[in-house]
Amino acid sequence: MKETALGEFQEIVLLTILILEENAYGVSIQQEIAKRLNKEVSRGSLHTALARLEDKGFIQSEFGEASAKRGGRRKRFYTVTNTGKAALKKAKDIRDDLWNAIPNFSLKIV
Amino acid sequence: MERYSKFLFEDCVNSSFIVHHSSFKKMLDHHPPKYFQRFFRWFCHADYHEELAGDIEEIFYDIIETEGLSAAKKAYRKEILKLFRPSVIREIPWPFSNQITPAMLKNFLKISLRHFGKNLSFSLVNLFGLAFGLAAALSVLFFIQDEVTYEHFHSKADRIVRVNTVDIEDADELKMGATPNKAAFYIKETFPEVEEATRVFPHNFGQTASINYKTNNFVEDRLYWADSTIFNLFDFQFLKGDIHTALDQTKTVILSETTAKRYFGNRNPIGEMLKVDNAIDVKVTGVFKDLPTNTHLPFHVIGSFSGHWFSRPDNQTWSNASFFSYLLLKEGSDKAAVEAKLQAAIKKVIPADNLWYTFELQGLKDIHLFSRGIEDEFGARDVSQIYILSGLAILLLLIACINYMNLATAKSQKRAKEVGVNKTLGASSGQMATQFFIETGLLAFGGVVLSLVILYLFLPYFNQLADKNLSFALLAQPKFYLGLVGMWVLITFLAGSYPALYLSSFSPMNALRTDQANGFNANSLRKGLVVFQFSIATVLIISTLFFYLQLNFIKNKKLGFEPEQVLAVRIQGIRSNATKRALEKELQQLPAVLKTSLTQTFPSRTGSGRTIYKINAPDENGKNLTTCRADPNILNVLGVKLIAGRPLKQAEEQDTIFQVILNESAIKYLGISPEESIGKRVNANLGISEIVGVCEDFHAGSMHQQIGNYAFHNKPTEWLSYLLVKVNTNDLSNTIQQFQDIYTEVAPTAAFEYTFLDESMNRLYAKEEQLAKVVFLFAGLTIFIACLGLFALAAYATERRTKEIGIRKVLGASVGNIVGLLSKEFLLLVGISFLIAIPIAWVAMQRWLQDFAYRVEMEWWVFAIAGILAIFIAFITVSFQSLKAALSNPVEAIKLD
Repeated sequence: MKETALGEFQEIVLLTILILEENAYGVSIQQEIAKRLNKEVSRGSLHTALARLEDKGFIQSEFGEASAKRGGRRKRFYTVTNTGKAALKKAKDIRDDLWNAIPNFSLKIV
Repeated sequence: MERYSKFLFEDCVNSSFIVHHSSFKKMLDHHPPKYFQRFFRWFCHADYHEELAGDIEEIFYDIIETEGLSAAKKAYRKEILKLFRPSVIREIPWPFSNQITPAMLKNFLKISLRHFGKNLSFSLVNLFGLAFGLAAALSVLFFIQDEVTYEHFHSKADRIVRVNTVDIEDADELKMGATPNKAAFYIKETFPEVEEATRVFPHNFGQTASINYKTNNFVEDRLYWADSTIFNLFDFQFLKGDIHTALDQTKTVILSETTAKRYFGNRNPIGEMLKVDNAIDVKVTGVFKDLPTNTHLPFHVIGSFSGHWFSRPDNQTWSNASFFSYLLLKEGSDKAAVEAKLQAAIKKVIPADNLWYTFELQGLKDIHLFSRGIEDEFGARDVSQIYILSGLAILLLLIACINYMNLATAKSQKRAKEVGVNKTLGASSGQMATQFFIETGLLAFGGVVLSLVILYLFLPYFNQLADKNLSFALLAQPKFYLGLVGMWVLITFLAGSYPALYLSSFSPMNALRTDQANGFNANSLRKGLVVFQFSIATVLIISTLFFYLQLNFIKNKKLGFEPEQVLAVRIQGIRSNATKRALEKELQQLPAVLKTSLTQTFPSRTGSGRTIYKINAPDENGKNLTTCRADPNILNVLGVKLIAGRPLKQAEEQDTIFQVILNESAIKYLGISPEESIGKRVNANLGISEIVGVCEDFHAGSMHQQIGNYAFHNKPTEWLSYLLVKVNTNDLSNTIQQFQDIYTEVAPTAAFEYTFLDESMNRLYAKEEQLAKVVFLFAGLTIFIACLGLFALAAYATERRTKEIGIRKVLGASVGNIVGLLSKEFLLLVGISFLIAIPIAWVAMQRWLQDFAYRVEMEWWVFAIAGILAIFIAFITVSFQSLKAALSNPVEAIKLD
């Protein structure tokens, strides 16, 4: 049976792919995450996350155009599959439930 | 299939893009680091290669545009290393196919550990030998790392050059690190390749400064005056003040963080006034972060160049090479080309009477290690010392490895059975070799760990010895732990190959036979290795002996003057001669003071360089003459003997004829006898001057040089910077305290600083003493490790002959007989190594001694002592074992079997 749970970093990657819409490939995902989370992500750790996500069937990929800047190599574009979207939704629901279950919730940190 | 088509596709796209998109063309001149790119292609899974390689290359070119090439390369390497992870790495075929299975490895590991336990003393000898060798190698690695990274913290270091002045009239092409005042900015304005220039002038030609703040006086030996453009060349991090304007005003200074703390404690120094040498008022305008120690310009205080005598227009000349000129070359300009143009250009610019020199450009990073023969103020280290040290470290490591090989093969007879049984049961040679490599690897790993412990314990001593400030934290750098892993692998293969290949090659038939005829001949190799080890040890012993003899010789050689009990008090902080003389008078009142004299300089420090010409041949080229302006009493204080004539007199203001006292060498050059010379006029760039006396030759410089022409004179061209005081040293600390009190009274705003002449003379040989200590240490370590090996070898040999010894004793052999029998072989080996060591040591020492104009003879008895010492140490080591065997009860030995 395949592991279908979603790690935190994997969740971030999935969401980022959705944000980038048509333009989600390695570099753009990496930069978007760096920009939004304000932390450096190596291409290596991103690769591991993408490979896992693809194994789980949460994302699909296909080759796009090449450019000189890439030494003539093609980009691999990622899209989130329906399974992926469902997993995201499920993760969000669980969180929402948990948030809602907190009594006397206040964002003030004491 | 798919992979090939991909590559073809890549190639097509690649070329077409380069042709069509010329905007990328410039960018594509740069390439990602080639080896990393290849490495990545090698390890990356084919399915991911195109995507990942493309991505990181895209990032690479992005960073080039924003942060430049070196940042991009760095990022690229980092990305590749981080991609080296299981999810990216392709499947690696198990190299031993089905020969070696994980279960077998586990078994090997177990057997290795059992062997260590069974031969504990052997294993410990190996372990410690390796660990000491490694620790020495590591400390040297630390040292070298520090040495070769001089100036690397300046981000433009690659483009910065220093202008050196080369004396083309001097036979040896004397080079100086400094240039005339005009050079730096002339070069900047004339050559478009030069982006920026700055002059750096060590305070008062490299003297220490006395700095006064309110009631406190400080001695400052790192005060430099520099143009404000210095910040465009070198990297400074300002903590207070503004780097853009800090040195724009005249009479401003900036301080390093530590210096600021020293002067002002925790107060804010900005805007405070300091007084330099009791004459120059300067305002503090900035504080910069302390520079790393590995720089030849360890600024503590930098003052603005403008507003002093040396920045006045009449001092902007093409003579007086005292100013260090640094240039920043434009990106991509060629140092050699600029140098050639410069050498051609200055011939037309420099006035004819100064055409004795030309310039050369020296890269900033080369200054520390490659300044042999260049005179400057910075005390560089010569690269040869680095070579010597690395050579010693490698030798030591090699000796430790040899120990391992020796011991491993010595045990071979015992292991032969194990190999035989294994092979009979179907093990291949490769499998057996793996087993032995694993054993070596385990032991080497232990050695690496232990060496770190040793290094940690001994680093403080090493720092003291090497005059460095190395920290154990250096190990945290990736290149060091990569280095450690590298060393581990290297040792495993270096020490493990021979035993592994040798032992695993035993044929099972021979190995299992119980008689002696095993047909292997590791013996001669083992002997060869012992000879090798002891040759090195003996060479080092001989070298150490010669170092000490020579240094001793230097210290005991008659100097021609008496530096003992003479103090040199620095009085540059006092401006007027009247005050200086008042101070001298005051000191003379003290009972402990025997003699005093004011002087410009003293032996062990350089004097002024002038030229002396033969009296009746003014057209002939002169000779170099070192001069020292001094008061009449100078010869008396120094204890230099006057051969003819009389002492100098005190020069008076109306004097137009000045007096000189020449040394014998100078008189010899003039070609007249001392008595004849008295009263003669001599041309020595001192105006009209008359020889009033002739003194004996004395060593004003180090023993590296022959005594040259020297003159004392009374022409007031130089400052009287020192007060020499010959004291009675009975109650020295009290006397010095009295000095200080009087000094502070006479010159309240100048710092009190003094040195003893004999100490100052000894400091001339600091480099040699350091080398002697290092070689001594390495000699000790080498002998120690070699003896460890010898000890274990002797133990083994004795053990093998237990029965023989027992029988010999029964038949009536004495203890002496048996000790002799067992030691003979080893002593013979040490004797051979002694014979090999002699010529090597001879040549090496001959070369080292050549550096000294005055040196000891190469006496035969030094070699003899070293040889006897080596044999003695070896004998002690071996006789431990042989005595034990000889004294044991023969029955114990024979009853076994």
